[in-house]
Amino acid sequence: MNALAFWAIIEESWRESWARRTSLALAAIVFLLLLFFAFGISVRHVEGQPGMITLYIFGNRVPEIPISMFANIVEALAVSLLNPWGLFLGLFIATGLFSSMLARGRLYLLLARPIARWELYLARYLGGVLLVFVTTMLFCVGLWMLLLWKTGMTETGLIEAGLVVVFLFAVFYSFAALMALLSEGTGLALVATLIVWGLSHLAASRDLFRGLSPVFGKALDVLYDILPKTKDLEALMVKLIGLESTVSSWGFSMWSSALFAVVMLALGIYLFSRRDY
Amino acid sequence: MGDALEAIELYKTYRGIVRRTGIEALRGVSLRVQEGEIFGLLGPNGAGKTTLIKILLGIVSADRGTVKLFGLDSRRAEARRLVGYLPEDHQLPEYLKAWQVLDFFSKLSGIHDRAHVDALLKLVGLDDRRASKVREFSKGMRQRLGLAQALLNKPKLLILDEPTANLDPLGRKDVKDLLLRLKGEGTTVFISSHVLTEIERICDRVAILHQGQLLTEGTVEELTQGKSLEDVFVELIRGPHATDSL
Repeated sequence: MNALAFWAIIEESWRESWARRTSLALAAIVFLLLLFFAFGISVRHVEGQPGMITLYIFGNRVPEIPISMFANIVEALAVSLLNPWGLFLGLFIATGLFSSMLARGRLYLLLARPIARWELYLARYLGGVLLVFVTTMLFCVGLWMLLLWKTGMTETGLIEAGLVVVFLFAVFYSFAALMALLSEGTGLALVATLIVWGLSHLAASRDLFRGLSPVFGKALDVLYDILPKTKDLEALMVKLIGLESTVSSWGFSMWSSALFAVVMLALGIYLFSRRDY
Repeated sequence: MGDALEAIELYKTYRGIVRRTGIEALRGVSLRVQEGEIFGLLGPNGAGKTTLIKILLGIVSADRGTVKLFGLDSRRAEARRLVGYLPEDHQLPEYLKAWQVLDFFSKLSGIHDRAHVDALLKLVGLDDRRASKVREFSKGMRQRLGLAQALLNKPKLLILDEPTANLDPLGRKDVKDLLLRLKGEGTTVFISSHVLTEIERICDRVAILHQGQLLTEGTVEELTQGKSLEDVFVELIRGPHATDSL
Protein backbone atom coordinates (compact mmCIF):
# COMPACT_ATOMS: atom_id res chain seq x y z
CA MET A 1 0.00 0.00 0.00
CA ASN A 2 1.21 3.49 -0.89
CA ALA A 3 0.67 5.26 2.48
CA LEU A 4 1.89 8.67 1.27
CA ALA A 5 -0.50 8.57 -1.68
CA PHE A 6 -3.36 7.27 0.48
CA TRP A 7 -2.96 10.15 2.92
CA ALA A 8 -2.54 12.65 0.09
CA ILE A 9 -6.00 11.69 -1.24
CA ILE A 10 -7.55 12.13 2.22
CA GLU A 11 -5.78 15.47 2.68
CA GLU A 12 -6.91 16.63 -0.76
CA SER A 13 -10.55 15.80 0.10
CA TRP A 14 -10.23 18.23 3.01
CA ARG A 15 -8.63 20.93 0.91
CA GLU A 16 -11.34 20.60 -1.71
CA SER A 17 -14.07 20.72 0.87
CA TRP A 18 -12.58 23.90 2.39
CA ALA A 19 -12.17 25.41 -1.06
CA ARG A 20 -15.81 24.74 -1.84
CA ARG A 21 -16.71 26.59 1.36
CA THR A 22 -18.96 23.68 2.35
CA SER A 23 -16.78 22.70 5.29
CA LEU A 24 -16.49 26.33 6.19
CA ALA A 25 -20.29 26.58 6.29
CA LEU A 26 -20.49 23.42 8.38
CA ALA A 27 -17.86 24.68 10.82
CA ALA A 28 -19.62 28.08 10.97
CA ILE A 29 -22.93 26.40 11.88
CA VAL A 30 -21.18 24.42 14.64
CA PHE A 31 -19.45 27.51 16.05
CA LEU A 32 -22.65 29.59 15.94
CA LEU A 33 -24.52 26.91 17.87
CA LEU A 34 -21.73 26.66 20.42
CA LEU A 35 -21.54 30.45 20.71
CA PHE A 36 -25.30 30.64 21.25
CA PHE A 37 -25.03 28.08 24.02
CA ALA A 38 -21.94 29.72 25.55
CA PHE A 39 -23.19 33.29 25.62
CA GLY A 40 -26.93 33.18 24.86
CA ILE A 41 -27.82 30.94 27.78
CA SER A 42 -26.91 31.81 31.32
CA VAL A 43 -27.29 29.20 34.07
CA ARG A 44 -27.60 30.07 37.77
CA HIS A 45 -27.91 27.56 40.58
CA VAL A 46 -30.95 28.15 42.79
CA GLU A 47 -29.91 28.81 46.37
CA GLY A 48 -31.21 26.31 48.89
CA GLN A 49 -32.42 23.93 46.14
CA PRO A 50 -29.57 21.60 45.14
CA GLY A 51 -29.83 20.31 41.60
CA MET A 52 -32.10 23.17 40.49
CA ILE A 53 -31.09 25.93 38.11
CA THR A 54 -32.54 29.10 36.69
CA LEU A 55 -32.00 29.77 33.00
CA TYR A 56 -31.67 33.11 31.27
CA ILE A 57 -31.94 32.93 27.48
CA PHE A 58 -30.66 36.24 26.11
CA GLY A 59 -31.52 37.77 29.48
CA ASN A 60 -35.06 36.35 29.63
CA ARG A 61 -35.68 34.33 32.75
CA VAL A 62 -37.04 30.78 32.41
CA PRO A 63 -38.60 29.04 35.47
CA GLU A 64 -36.37 26.79 37.60
CA ILE A 65 -35.75 23.30 36.28
CA PRO A 66 -33.58 20.40 37.45
CA ILE A 67 -30.03 20.37 36.05
CA SER A 68 -30.49 16.86 34.64
CA MET A 69 -33.62 17.92 32.74
CA PHE A 70 -31.78 20.92 31.28
CA ALA A 71 -28.90 18.70 30.20
CA ASN A 72 -31.33 16.19 28.67
CA ILE A 73 -33.11 18.93 26.71
CA VAL A 74 -29.80 20.28 25.38
CA GLU A 75 -28.56 16.82 24.45
CA ALA A 76 -31.86 15.84 22.85
CA LEU A 77 -31.83 19.03 20.77
CA ALA A 78 -28.22 18.39 19.78
CA VAL A 79 -28.94 14.80 18.75
CA SER A 80 -32.01 15.81 16.76
CA LEU A 81 -29.90 18.40 14.95
CA LEU A 82 -27.20 15.84 14.17
CA ASN A 83 -29.70 13.22 13.07
CA PRO A 84 -31.09 13.61 10.49
CA TRP A 85 -30.06 17.18 9.53
CA GLY A 86 -26.34 16.83 10.22
CA LEU A 87 -26.40 13.41 8.57
CA PHE A 88 -28.04 14.80 5.42
CA LEU A 89 -25.70 17.79 5.28
CA GLY A 90 -22.69 15.48 5.68
CA LEU A 91 -23.96 13.23 2.89
CA PHE A 92 -24.56 16.22 0.64
CA ILE A 93 -21.00 17.52 1.15
CA ALA A 94 -19.18 14.20 1.07
CA THR A 95 -21.05 12.79 -1.96
CA GLY A 96 -20.20 15.95 -3.88
CA LEU A 97 -16.55 15.43 -3.00
CA PHE A 98 -16.66 11.82 -4.09
CA SER A 99 -18.28 12.66 -7.44
CA SER A 100 -15.74 15.37 -8.19
CA MET A 101 -12.96 12.78 -8.08
CA LEU A 102 -14.76 10.89 -10.84
CA ALA A 103 -14.70 13.83 -13.29
CA ARG A 104 -12.90 12.41 -16.33
CA GLY A 105 -10.07 14.92 -16.84
CA ARG A 106 -9.23 14.65 -13.17
CA LEU A 107 -9.62 10.90 -12.88
CA TYR A 108 -7.17 10.25 -15.75
CA LEU A 109 -4.45 12.06 -13.80
CA LEU A 110 -5.18 9.96 -10.72
CA LEU A 111 -5.48 6.60 -12.50
CA ALA A 112 -2.16 7.10 -14.28
CA ARG A 113 -0.38 7.31 -10.90
CA PRO A 114 1.08 4.25 -9.17
CA ILE A 115 -1.80 3.96 -6.73
CA ALA A 116 -4.21 1.04 -6.80
CA ARG A 117 -7.82 1.87 -7.61
CA TRP A 118 -9.04 0.34 -4.34
CA GLU A 119 -6.74 2.72 -2.45
CA LEU A 120 -8.07 5.68 -4.39
CA TYR A 121 -11.70 4.72 -3.72
CA LEU A 122 -11.16 3.92 -0.06
CA ALA A 123 -9.05 7.01 0.64
CA ARG A 124 -11.67 9.30 -0.89
CA TYR A 125 -14.38 7.55 1.14
CA LEU A 126 -12.37 7.87 4.35
CA GLY A 127 -11.69 11.54 3.57
CA GLY A 128 -15.45 12.17 3.70
CA VAL A 129 -15.91 10.11 6.86
CA LEU A 130 -13.05 11.94 8.58
CA LEU A 131 -14.52 15.31 7.64
CA VAL A 132 -17.87 14.44 9.21
CA PHE A 133 -16.19 12.80 12.22
CA VAL A 134 -14.15 15.92 13.03
CA THR A 135 -17.09 18.29 12.57
CA THR A 136 -19.43 16.12 14.65
CA MET A 137 -16.87 15.71 17.42
CA LEU A 138 -16.17 19.44 17.40
CA PHE A 139 -19.87 20.02 18.02
CA CYS A 140 -20.40 17.22 20.57
CA VAL A 141 -17.21 17.74 22.57
CA GLY A 142 -17.68 21.52 22.46
CA LEU A 143 -21.24 21.24 23.74
CA TRP A 144 -20.21 18.68 26.36
CA MET A 145 -17.52 21.04 27.66
CA LEU A 146 -19.99 23.91 27.82
CA LEU A 147 -22.47 21.71 29.69
CA LEU A 148 -19.71 20.72 32.09
CA TRP A 149 -18.81 24.37 32.60
CA LYS A 150 -22.37 25.59 33.10
CA THR A 151 -23.94 22.70 35.00
CA GLY A 152 -21.12 20.50 36.27
CA MET A 153 -22.68 17.46 34.53
CA THR A 154 -20.01 14.97 33.43
CA GLU A 155 -22.04 12.34 31.52
CA THR A 156 -20.48 11.67 28.10
CA GLY A 157 -23.63 10.30 26.43
CA LEU A 158 -23.71 13.15 23.91
CA ILE A 159 -20.23 12.33 22.63
CA GLU A 160 -21.14 8.65 22.37
CA ALA A 161 -24.35 9.56 20.51
CA GLY A 162 -22.22 11.70 18.19
CA LEU A 163 -20.07 8.67 17.41
CA VAL A 164 -23.21 6.71 16.50
CA VAL A 165 -24.21 9.55 14.13
CA VAL A 166 -20.79 9.32 12.45
CA PHE A 167 -21.20 5.56 12.19
CA LEU A 168 -24.64 5.99 10.59
CA PHE A 169 -23.14 8.55 8.20
CA ALA A 170 -20.32 6.15 7.24
CA VAL A 171 -22.91 3.44 6.51
CA PHE A 172 -25.06 5.62 4.24
CA TYR A 173 -22.02 7.27 2.66
CA SER A 174 -20.77 3.85 1.51
CA PHE A 175 -24.03 3.54 -0.44
CA ALA A 176 -23.92 7.16 -1.67
CA ALA A 177 -20.36 6.62 -2.97
CA LEU A 178 -21.46 3.50 -4.85
CA MET A 179 -24.38 5.41 -6.37
CA ALA A 180 -22.08 8.31 -7.30
CA LEU A 181 -19.80 5.82 -9.05
CA LEU A 182 -22.68 4.26 -10.98
CA SER A 183 -24.47 7.50 -11.87
CA GLU A 184 -21.30 9.60 -12.25
CA GLY A 185 -23.04 12.45 -10.45
CA THR A 186 -24.16 13.71 -7.07
CA GLY A 187 -27.89 14.35 -7.52
CA LEU A 188 -29.03 10.83 -8.31
CA ALA A 189 -26.69 9.38 -5.69
CA LEU A 190 -28.20 11.59 -2.99
CA VAL A 191 -31.79 10.84 -4.04
CA ALA A 192 -31.06 7.08 -4.02
CA THR A 193 -29.44 7.36 -0.59
CA LEU A 194 -32.41 9.26 0.83
CA ILE A 195 -34.73 6.59 -0.58
CA VAL A 196 -32.70 3.87 1.17
CA TRP A 197 -32.74 5.92 4.38
CA GLY A 198 -36.55 6.19 4.10
CA LEU A 199 -36.90 2.49 3.30
CA SER A 200 -34.80 1.56 6.31
CA HIS A 201 -37.26 3.49 8.50
CA LEU A 202 -40.22 1.87 6.77
CA ALA A 203 -38.70 -1.59 7.23
CA ALA A 204 -38.11 -0.90 10.92
CA SER A 205 -41.84 -0.15 11.30
CA ARG A 206 -42.83 -3.33 9.47
CA ASP A 207 -45.10 -4.53 12.27
CA LEU A 208 -47.46 -1.66 11.53
CA PHE A 209 -47.86 -2.78 7.92
CA ARG A 210 -47.92 -6.54 8.37
CA GLY A 211 -51.72 -6.57 8.50
CA LEU A 212 -52.03 -4.87 5.08
CA SER A 213 -50.65 -7.75 3.06
CA PRO A 214 -48.54 -10.81 3.92
CA VAL A 215 -46.37 -10.24 0.83
CA PHE A 216 -45.73 -6.61 1.77
CA GLY A 217 -44.91 -7.69 5.32
CA LYS A 218 -42.46 -10.31 4.03
CA ALA A 219 -40.86 -7.76 1.69
CA LEU A 220 -40.36 -5.39 4.60
CA ASP A 221 -38.82 -8.23 6.65
CA VAL A 222 -36.28 -8.82 3.88
CA LEU A 223 -35.60 -5.08 3.60
CA TYR A 224 -35.08 -4.87 7.35
CA ASP A 225 -32.53 -7.70 7.20
CA ILE A 226 -30.61 -6.12 4.30
CA LEU A 227 -30.71 -2.38 5.04
CA PRO A 228 -28.97 -0.42 7.81
CA LYS A 229 -30.88 -0.46 11.10
CA THR A 230 -31.39 3.29 11.13
CA LYS A 231 -34.28 3.38 13.57
CA ASP A 232 -32.52 1.08 16.05
CA LEU A 233 -29.40 3.23 15.92
CA GLU A 234 -31.49 6.35 16.44
CA ALA A 235 -33.03 4.69 19.50
CA LEU A 236 -29.51 3.91 20.68
CA MET A 237 -28.60 7.60 20.43
CA VAL A 238 -31.62 8.46 22.58
CA LYS A 239 -30.60 5.82 25.13
CA LEU A 240 -27.03 7.13 25.22
CA ILE A 241 -28.16 10.61 26.23
CA GLY A 242 -30.08 9.07 29.10
CA LEU A 243 -33.62 9.26 27.77
CA GLU A 244 -36.23 6.48 27.62
CA SER A 245 -35.61 4.28 24.63
CA THR A 246 -37.04 1.11 23.14
CA VAL A 247 -33.68 -0.13 21.89
CA SER A 248 -32.95 -3.74 22.76
CA SER A 249 -30.43 -5.51 20.53
CA TRP A 250 -28.21 -2.64 19.37
CA GLY A 251 -25.23 -4.97 18.93
CA PHE A 252 -27.02 -6.72 16.05
CA SER A 253 -28.09 -3.34 14.63
CA MET A 254 -24.48 -2.13 14.68
CA TRP A 255 -22.82 -5.10 13.06
CA SER A 256 -25.53 -5.71 10.46
CA SER A 257 -25.36 -2.01 9.47
CA ALA A 258 -21.57 -2.25 9.35
CA LEU A 259 -21.92 -5.33 7.14
CA PHE A 260 -24.13 -3.29 4.78
CA ALA A 261 -21.37 -0.65 4.58
CA VAL A 262 -18.66 -3.26 3.97
CA VAL A 263 -20.70 -4.86 1.17
CA MET A 264 -21.39 -1.47 -0.45
CA LEU A 265 -17.72 -0.50 -0.22
CA ALA A 266 -16.56 -3.84 -1.60
CA LEU A 267 -19.03 -3.56 -4.48
CA GLY A 268 -17.92 0.00 -5.20
CA ILE A 269 -14.24 -0.94 -5.16
CA TYR A 270 -14.89 -3.98 -7.38
CA LEU A 271 -16.77 -1.92 -9.98
CA PHE A 272 -14.29 0.97 -9.84
CA SER A 273 -11.37 -1.42 -10.32
CA ARG A 274 -12.90 -3.03 -13.39
CA ARG A 275 -14.37 0.01 -15.08
CA ASP A 276 -12.97 1.65 -18.20
CA TYR A 277 -12.61 5.42 -18.14
CA MET B 1 18.44 -0.28 -26.45
CA GLY B 2 15.43 -2.29 -25.26
CA ASP B 3 11.75 -1.61 -25.71
CA ALA B 4 10.20 1.06 -23.55
CA LEU B 5 6.78 0.03 -24.73
CA GLU B 6 5.53 -3.09 -26.41
CA ALA B 7 1.88 -3.49 -27.41
CA ILE B 8 0.84 -6.75 -29.00
CA GLU B 9 -2.41 -7.35 -30.88
CA LEU B 10 -4.61 -4.94 -28.96
CA TYR B 11 -8.35 -5.18 -29.49
CA LYS B 12 -10.95 -3.02 -27.83
CA THR B 13 -14.69 -2.76 -28.46
CA TYR B 14 -16.85 -0.38 -26.47
CA ARG B 15 -20.16 -2.07 -25.82
CA GLY B 16 -23.31 -0.38 -24.62
CA ILE B 17 -25.66 -1.94 -22.10
CA VAL B 18 -28.37 -2.38 -24.75
CA ARG B 19 -26.40 -2.44 -28.00
CA ARG B 20 -24.02 -5.36 -27.53
CA THR B 21 -22.38 -5.10 -30.95
CA GLY B 22 -20.51 -1.97 -29.84
CA ILE B 23 -17.89 0.23 -31.46
CA GLU B 24 -14.53 -1.24 -32.41
CA ALA B 25 -11.96 1.23 -31.16
CA LEU B 26 -8.86 -0.90 -31.74
CA ARG B 27 -8.47 -3.81 -34.13
CA GLY B 28 -5.26 -5.70 -33.61
CA VAL B 29 -2.85 -2.84 -32.95
CA SER B 30 0.76 -3.80 -32.31
CA LEU B 31 3.64 -1.41 -31.85
CA ARG B 32 7.01 -1.07 -30.19
CA VAL B 33 8.68 2.06 -28.92
CA GLN B 34 12.38 1.85 -28.26
CA GLU B 35 14.01 3.39 -25.22
CA GLY B 36 15.25 6.94 -25.78
CA GLU B 37 13.24 7.75 -28.91
CA ILE B 38 10.43 10.22 -29.55
CA PHE B 39 7.51 8.33 -31.05
CA GLY B 40 4.58 10.13 -32.68
CA LEU B 41 1.09 8.72 -32.98
CA LEU B 42 -1.06 10.30 -35.66
CA GLY B 43 -4.64 9.74 -36.64
CA PRO B 44 -7.87 11.59 -37.38
CA ASN B 45 -10.47 12.13 -34.67
CA GLY B 46 -11.99 8.83 -33.57
CA ALA B 47 -9.06 6.79 -34.87
CA GLY B 48 -8.52 5.16 -31.47
CA LYS B 49 -5.47 7.16 -30.33
CA THR B 50 -6.83 8.07 -26.90
CA THR B 51 -8.11 4.51 -26.36
CA LEU B 52 -4.65 3.18 -27.21
CA ILE B 53 -3.01 5.59 -24.75
CA LYS B 54 -5.50 4.68 -22.02
CA ILE B 55 -4.79 0.99 -22.57
CA LEU B 56 -1.06 1.67 -22.34
CA LEU B 57 -1.70 3.24 -18.91
CA GLY B 58 -4.22 0.68 -17.67
CA ILE B 59 -7.04 3.27 -17.56
CA VAL B 60 -8.95 1.16 -20.07
CA SER B 61 -8.55 -2.60 -20.31
CA ALA B 62 -8.03 -4.27 -23.68
CA ASP B 63 -10.40 -7.05 -24.73
CA ARG B 64 -7.39 -8.92 -26.13
CA GLY B 65 -3.69 -8.31 -26.35
CA THR B 66 -0.92 -7.32 -23.97
CA VAL B 67 1.03 -4.17 -23.12
CA LYS B 68 4.42 -4.14 -21.50
CA LEU B 69 6.22 -1.04 -20.25
CA PHE B 70 9.92 -1.74 -19.79
CA GLY B 71 9.03 -5.42 -19.65
CA LEU B 72 6.38 -4.94 -16.92
CA ASP B 73 2.65 -5.54 -17.33
CA SER B 74 1.19 -2.04 -17.82
CA ARG B 75 -1.65 -2.73 -15.37
CA ARG B 76 0.81 -3.02 -12.49
CA ALA B 77 1.52 0.00 -10.29
CA GLU B 78 5.29 -0.67 -10.72
CA ALA B 79 4.92 -0.02 -14.45
CA ARG B 80 3.04 3.24 -13.88
CA ARG B 81 5.82 4.37 -11.56
CA LEU B 82 8.03 4.65 -14.67
CA VAL B 83 5.55 6.67 -16.68
CA GLY B 84 4.51 10.33 -16.82
CA TYR B 85 1.21 11.17 -18.48
CA LEU B 86 -0.43 14.34 -19.72
CA PRO B 87 -4.01 13.71 -20.91
CA GLU B 88 -5.52 15.89 -23.60
CA ASP B 89 -8.44 17.12 -21.50
CA HIS B 90 -6.81 17.16 -18.11
CA GLN B 91 -8.47 18.90 -15.19
CA LEU B 92 -6.13 20.06 -12.45
CA PRO B 93 -7.66 20.89 -9.04
CA GLU B 94 -8.66 24.54 -9.50
CA TYR B 95 -8.60 25.37 -5.80
CA LEU B 96 -4.95 24.39 -5.34
CA LYS B 97 -1.93 26.61 -5.83
CA ALA B 98 0.55 25.63 -8.53
CA TRP B 99 3.05 24.18 -6.04
CA GLN B 100 0.27 22.36 -4.17
CA VAL B 101 -0.86 20.67 -7.39
CA LEU B 102 2.64 19.32 -7.98
CA ASP B 103 3.07 18.42 -4.31
CA PHE B 104 -0.21 16.45 -4.39
CA PHE B 105 0.61 14.52 -7.56
CA SER B 106 4.16 13.81 -6.42
CA LYS B 107 2.80 12.31 -3.19
CA LEU B 108 0.55 10.12 -5.33
CA SER B 109 3.73 8.82 -6.92
CA GLY B 110 5.15 8.14 -3.46
CA ILE B 111 7.55 11.11 -3.64
CA HIS B 112 7.77 14.05 -1.26
CA ASP B 113 10.39 16.44 -2.62
CA ARG B 114 9.62 20.18 -2.49
CA ALA B 115 12.92 21.11 -4.18
CA HIS B 116 11.98 18.98 -7.20
CA VAL B 117 8.56 20.65 -7.30
CA ASP B 118 10.22 24.07 -7.38
CA ALA B 119 12.67 22.94 -10.06
CA LEU B 120 9.80 21.74 -12.26
CA LEU B 121 7.88 24.99 -11.82
CA LYS B 122 11.00 26.77 -13.00
CA LEU B 123 11.42 24.36 -15.90
CA VAL B 124 7.92 25.13 -17.25
CA GLY B 125 8.24 28.85 -16.53
CA LEU B 126 5.76 29.04 -13.68
CA ASP B 127 8.16 29.67 -10.79
CA ASP B 128 6.90 33.23 -10.38
CA ARG B 129 3.31 31.91 -10.15
CA ARG B 130 3.97 29.08 -7.72
CA ALA B 131 1.58 30.54 -5.13
CA SER B 132 -1.19 31.34 -7.61
CA LYS B 133 -4.27 29.14 -7.72
CA VAL B 134 -4.96 27.09 -10.84
CA ARG B 135 -8.29 28.89 -11.31
CA GLU B 136 -6.32 32.08 -12.02
CA PHE B 137 -4.29 30.40 -14.79
CA SER B 138 -4.76 30.76 -18.53
CA LYS B 139 -5.18 27.63 -20.67
CA GLY B 140 -1.54 27.78 -21.68
CA MET B 141 -0.38 28.02 -18.07
CA ARG B 142 -2.56 25.06 -17.13
CA GLN B 143 -1.02 23.09 -19.97
CA ARG B 144 2.48 23.92 -18.73
CA LEU B 145 1.53 22.93 -15.19
CA GLY B 146 0.05 19.70 -16.57
CA LEU B 147 3.35 19.00 -18.28
CA ALA B 148 5.19 19.60 -15.02
CA GLN B 149 2.95 17.09 -13.21
CA ALA B 150 3.80 14.53 -15.89
CA LEU B 151 7.49 15.00 -15.12
CA LEU B 152 7.15 14.71 -11.32
CA ASN B 153 8.28 11.10 -10.99
CA LYS B 154 11.24 11.63 -13.36
CA PRO B 155 9.60 9.24 -15.82
CA LYS B 156 11.49 6.93 -18.14
CA LEU B 157 8.53 7.09 -20.51
CA LEU B 158 6.52 10.26 -21.07
CA ILE B 159 3.09 9.85 -22.70
CA LEU B 160 1.64 13.11 -23.99
CA ASP B 161 -1.77 13.53 -25.56
CA GLU B 162 -1.84 16.79 -27.54
CA PRO B 163 0.87 18.41 -25.41
CA THR B 164 0.92 21.70 -27.30
CA ALA B 165 -2.83 22.27 -27.33
CA ASN B 166 -3.66 25.74 -25.94
CA LEU B 167 -0.06 26.91 -26.23
CA ASP B 168 1.01 29.94 -28.20
CA PRO B 169 3.94 29.65 -30.69
CA LEU B 170 6.48 30.51 -27.99
CA GLY B 171 4.99 27.94 -25.64
CA ARG B 172 5.07 25.33 -28.42
CA LYS B 173 8.71 26.02 -29.05
CA ASP B 174 9.46 25.69 -25.33
CA VAL B 175 7.72 22.32 -25.21
CA LYS B 176 9.54 21.14 -28.33
CA ASP B 177 12.88 22.16 -26.81
CA LEU B 178 11.99 20.51 -23.53
CA LEU B 179 11.08 17.22 -25.25
CA LEU B 180 14.34 17.23 -27.19
CA ARG B 181 16.22 17.92 -23.96
CA LEU B 182 14.43 15.05 -22.21
CA LYS B 183 15.26 12.80 -25.11
CA GLY B 184 18.89 13.82 -24.71
CA GLU B 185 18.67 12.75 -21.07
CA GLY B 186 17.41 9.31 -22.12
CA THR B 187 13.66 9.76 -21.61
CA THR B 188 11.38 8.00 -24.08
CA VAL B 189 8.56 10.21 -25.35
CA PHE B 190 5.28 9.01 -26.85
CA ILE B 191 3.24 11.84 -28.37
CA SER B 192 -0.22 11.86 -29.84
CA SER B 193 -0.83 15.05 -31.78
CA HIS B 194 -2.83 16.61 -34.57
CA VAL B 195 -0.06 19.08 -35.34
CA LEU B 196 1.74 17.22 -38.11
CA THR B 197 4.59 19.70 -38.50
CA GLU B 198 5.36 19.32 -34.83
CA ILE B 199 5.51 15.53 -35.13
CA GLU B 200 7.58 15.79 -38.30
CA ARG B 201 10.16 18.01 -36.61
CA ILE B 202 10.77 16.18 -33.38
CA CYS B 203 9.77 12.53 -33.77
CA ASP B 204 12.20 9.75 -34.59
CA ARG B 205 9.43 7.39 -35.59
CA VAL B 206 5.77 7.82 -36.43
CA ALA B 207 2.70 5.58 -36.59
CA ILE B 208 -0.61 6.41 -38.25
CA LEU B 209 -3.77 4.98 -36.74
CA HIS B 210 -7.09 4.98 -38.58
CA GLN B 211 -10.37 3.31 -37.62
CA GLY B 212 -8.65 1.29 -34.94
CA GLN B 213 -5.92 -0.11 -37.18
CA LEU B 214 -2.30 0.85 -37.58
CA LEU B 215 -1.91 1.88 -41.24
CA THR B 216 1.83 2.44 -41.21
CA GLU B 217 4.82 2.86 -38.95
CA GLY B 218 8.38 3.97 -39.53
CA THR B 219 10.87 6.80 -39.35
CA VAL B 220 9.73 10.17 -40.65
CA GLU B 221 12.11 9.79 -43.64
CA GLU B 222 10.81 6.34 -44.50
CA LEU B 223 7.22 7.52 -44.46
CA THR B 224 7.58 10.83 -46.25
CA GLN B 225 10.21 10.04 -48.95
CA GLY B 226 10.43 13.64 -50.04
CA LYS B 227 6.77 14.50 -49.46
CA SER B 228 5.42 16.34 -46.46
CA LEU B 229 4.04 14.30 -43.59
CA GLU B 230 0.71 16.05 -44.12
CA ASP B 231 0.45 14.76 -47.69
CA VAL B 232 1.35 11.24 -46.62
CA PHE B 233 -1.20 11.40 -43.80
CA VAL B 234 -4.02 12.61 -46.08
CA GLU B 235 -3.18 10.01 -48.72
CA LEU B 236 -3.25 7.22 -46.22
CA ILE B 237 -6.54 8.29 -44.70
CA ARG B 238 -8.42 9.41 -47.84
CA GLY B 239 -6.70 7.53 -50.63
CA PRO B 240 -3.71 8.23 -52.97
CA HIS B 241 -5.36 11.02 -55.03
CA ALA B 242 -6.90 12.91 -52.13
CA THR B 243 -4.12 15.51 -51.95
CA ASP B 244 -4.57 16.42 -55.66
CA SER B 245 -8.09 17.67 -55.06
CA LEU B 246 -7.10 19.89 -52.14
